[in-house]
Formats: sequence, structure tokens, C-alpha cells
Amino acid sequence: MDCPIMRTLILDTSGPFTTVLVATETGISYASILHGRPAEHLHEQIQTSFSCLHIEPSDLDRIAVVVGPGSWTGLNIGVTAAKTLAQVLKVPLSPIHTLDALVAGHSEPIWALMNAGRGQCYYLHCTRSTYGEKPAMAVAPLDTVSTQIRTDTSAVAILEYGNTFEKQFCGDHRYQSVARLLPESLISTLNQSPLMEGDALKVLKPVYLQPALAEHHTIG
Amino acid sequence: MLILGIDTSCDDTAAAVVRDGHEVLSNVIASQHKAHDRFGGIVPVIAAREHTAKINFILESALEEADVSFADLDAVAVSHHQGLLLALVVGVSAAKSIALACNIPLIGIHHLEGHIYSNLMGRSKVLKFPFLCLTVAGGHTLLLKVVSHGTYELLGHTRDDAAGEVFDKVARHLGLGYPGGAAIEKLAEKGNPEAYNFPRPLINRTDGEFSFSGLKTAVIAAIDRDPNLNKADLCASFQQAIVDLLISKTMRMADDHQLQQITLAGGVALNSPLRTALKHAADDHGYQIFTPRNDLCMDNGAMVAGAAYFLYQERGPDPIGIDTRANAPLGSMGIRYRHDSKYR
Repeated sequence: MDCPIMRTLILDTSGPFTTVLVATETGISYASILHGRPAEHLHEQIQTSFSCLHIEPSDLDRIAVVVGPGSWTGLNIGVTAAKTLAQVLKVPLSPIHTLDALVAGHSEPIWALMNAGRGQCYYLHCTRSTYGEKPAMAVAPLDTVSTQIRTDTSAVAILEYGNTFEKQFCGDHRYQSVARLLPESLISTLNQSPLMEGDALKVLKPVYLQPALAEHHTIG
Repeated sequence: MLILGIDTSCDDTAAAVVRDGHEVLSNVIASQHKAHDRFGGIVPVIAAREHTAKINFILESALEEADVSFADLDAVAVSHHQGLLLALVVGVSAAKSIALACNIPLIGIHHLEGHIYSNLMGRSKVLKFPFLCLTVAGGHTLLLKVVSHGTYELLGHTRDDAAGEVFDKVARHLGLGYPGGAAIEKLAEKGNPEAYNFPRPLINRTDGEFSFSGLKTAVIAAIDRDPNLNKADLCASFQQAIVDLLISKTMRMADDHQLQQITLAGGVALNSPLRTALKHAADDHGYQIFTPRNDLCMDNGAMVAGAAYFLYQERGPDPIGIDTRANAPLGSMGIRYRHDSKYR
């Protein structure tokens, strides 16, 4: 007897691109990436994914969503869409953190960064000893973090989601600006993401940029 | 037809289930007043954050109270035009997800249409087109001739501040907190409405135009001039000036356009002196007055579902990609009731 396929709808509205993926254990069944305007595009992309794959919403087994950090409005749209789909379809919801997806697939020491506004940055530091376990994302002044990164000769890459720190790391060949989270990275992050159901799903909040404005932002 | 209505246009997260446009099975509203109180007004990013945190609980409560499930719904309606953009997108995103997951029609409603239709809910047999609608809230003040379903004619609107906004700003200046309308009304009960002679801008003009910013400035100047003033007298005089302006223009437009039925809508419609004065003025002119139920005056999901029931029959469903706009023209005639630069 064939095993039922576990089908996951993955949404990412954390940056300038709106990504909708449908994935199964065997890989990506559908991918749609559009620039900007998640308020108009997101649900059209989801609807198109269903019609292209000839599936019904009830064929989904799980919803996953990037919860941030990222664009304030984009995250509100994406997280609300995901929570409501999971609530109506009665399927579990998996939150994906932006920096977790950014470092997914890397096995070497790495720094992942993101502008948190007001001179602060979110960062995730993966060393050889932390691979295999989930390192915690933190927020700190950019100057402090950048000084630490410059003196860290073991790190082979500095990945920034966005491009606001280009000047800060000018001349450092390890620095790379990343415009959007890759579908493969989002899928490989799924295995580490918890499954939320019931009230736990409904209380899920985005991790916004500008932590000072988001009183209840969660880290890690 | 069972419709779930959602409104997140400002600082209330609201959802309701309404049957056939009239029977309100549930009307759940989560207020954010505490989150905004210390700022003396609404902070859009906080409103959006609160909507995202609460919307799914409110949806569940609305369905539970109505004793229905998502599968029982025939359509989902949402305010997608007019309001705080950051706040609107949250409700629209939830509504689109419900429409997709349940495979039911999505109906986008202009927030002002919700207020207008709050008067038609349960009264569509006695309230006949065309009628006059005075909608007064924190974001708008306008006089409309409601010609038919979804068709309106603009008879007048405010050139600057909305009446509700002036209530809030005066209350903030008096340290009465937010929202200010109820606090001012309560204080005004003990005051003399003739203690201060505040200006009534544009009251002698023959059109339906309003202006409240001069009145606001005069009231705030009076507060600043005398720190020991009698707040009750000031509130009563200020409230009387607003009521005089609204009544005068409403009656003039009803006379000019020969509209025998007058409706009142929006959050300021809860103001008792305004309701009483409008009733007396209408009685004098031989007109009929309609005011919504109290729970349908403030922003709520029931008025959105109610409007959707009538407008769906005229316009049909909207596509899943409907836009969200902070300022959008109203109705089939595309009425613009704000400065043109606001419409983008």
C-alpha cells in the first residue's frame, strides 16, 4: 500500500519577494516567486498553485510560514494568511525563522545578519560546535556585532538578508547580500520547525523588524 | 445566506456572522483602546500588530457565538477600502484565506458602505431609496444621498478634520484619554452648553460642506487660556457647536433634495445629544429618522456582512486578488470625498 503524501504549503512574505511553495517528501511540487505587493499577490499565487497541481485546499497536510524578522506589513499578511488557512483546514502550522532559513544548507562556520533598525541587527552565529543543534537568534548593536565578526577568522561566510550592511563589510570577501530566501533553504528548515495546533497556532506572532516597536517579539 | 463579516480598518478587530443581511447571529469586537491610550490616538503599526495577534481568536469567537462552523458559511466579506492600510491588510488576508480554504465567495466592502448599510439591516422594508445619510466618525464626516444599492451622491463633506477626530483631539487636550467622544459627552451632561460661544464654521453656507478645524482651534485655545476653566461647561459648549453644525447641514440638504428619510451612521452616531437634536429637528420638518443599533455604530463586522448581503446581489463576488486601499472612491459613481492627493 502506498504511503500518503505529506503535502506542505510554504509562504514567505518576509522580504521584497512573495514566495509560495508546495512541497512533498519528494521535493518541490510548485514554486511561485513574485516581486512585491503580497497583499494582492499572495492568495492569487496560492490559488494558482492549487489549480496547477489539481489539488484542493483540503489536500494540504501542513502550512509553513516565515515569521520573521522581516517586512512589517509583509509578515502581518503572510502570518495571518497561514494562521487562518491552518485554522480553517485544521492542519498544523510550522513557523520558520528568517535567519534559520538563511543558514540552512551551510555546514561551515557562518554569521547570518539582518537589519533590525535603529542601529541594531539580528544575528545568528553558527560555529562548527553549534551545527546539529539550533543556535539562538539574538539582537544587538550592529557596531558590536560587526567588530566581533571582523575578528572572527574562523567564519567562512557573512550572509545578510537584505543589503543595508554593504558599507559596514566593504572589502570583506566573506560578505554576501541575499535578496530572498531560497525554496530549498525553506524546505530544509521545515524539519527543525515545531508543529503548532489549536490555540498555540492562533497566538503565533511575527518577529518584526525594529524590535523596539514590537513589544512582544520573540527571539530564538 | 450566512455571511462572515470582518473589519480591521482601524483599532477594533471585529468579526460577525449575519444571516440574510438582517439577523445578527454574533458580533464580536476586540478593542485596542488600552494599547493606544498612552499615545492619545491610534498608532497604525500597533493596530496592525494587535490585529495579527487577535484575528484568529475573534474569528473563532464569532463562529462559536453564532453556533456555526467555517463549513456553514456561504460567503466571507471584509472591509478592504478606507482605513489604516497596515490594519486593513490583516483582515483582508484572513478573509482571503477563508474564501480560498472554504471555496466560498469573497466580498470586498468599502468601510463607509458598512456604516451606511448598518441602517438598512432589519429595516430594508421601511427605509426606501433614495434617503439621506449623515455618516460621522473619527475618520470621516459626510452627507450622502443613497440613491440605490451601491450608488451614492455626495451632498457634502468635511474640508478638514472629521467630527469624531475633533472630539478625540479636544479630549486629549483635556487629558480625558482616548477615545474622547464618550468622555466629553459624560462631562457635558453637567455643563452649560451656552457658557462658551464657540464658532460654527460654514453654518450659513447653503451647501453641505463642513469644517471643524477652526472650532477645534478655538476650543483648544480656550483650554490653554484658562487652566482653571470649568471642563463641564467647555465640553457642553463644544458638543453643542458640533451638534448645531451637523443638524443644520443635514436638515438643509434634506430640504434641498426633498429626502424624507434621514439616517445617521458612524461612531459619533452614539452621541445622545446628537440623536436627540436630530430627532427633534426631523419632527419639526416632518421627516423620519433612522439610527443604527448601538452595537452597529462603532466599527464592527456585522455592518460589513450586512452590506455584503445587499451588494453581493448587485455586484457578485470579488476576485481573490482584490486590492486594499487606505483611501478609495465610494460606490458605483466613484465618489471622492477627500482631497484628491489622498487617492492613489
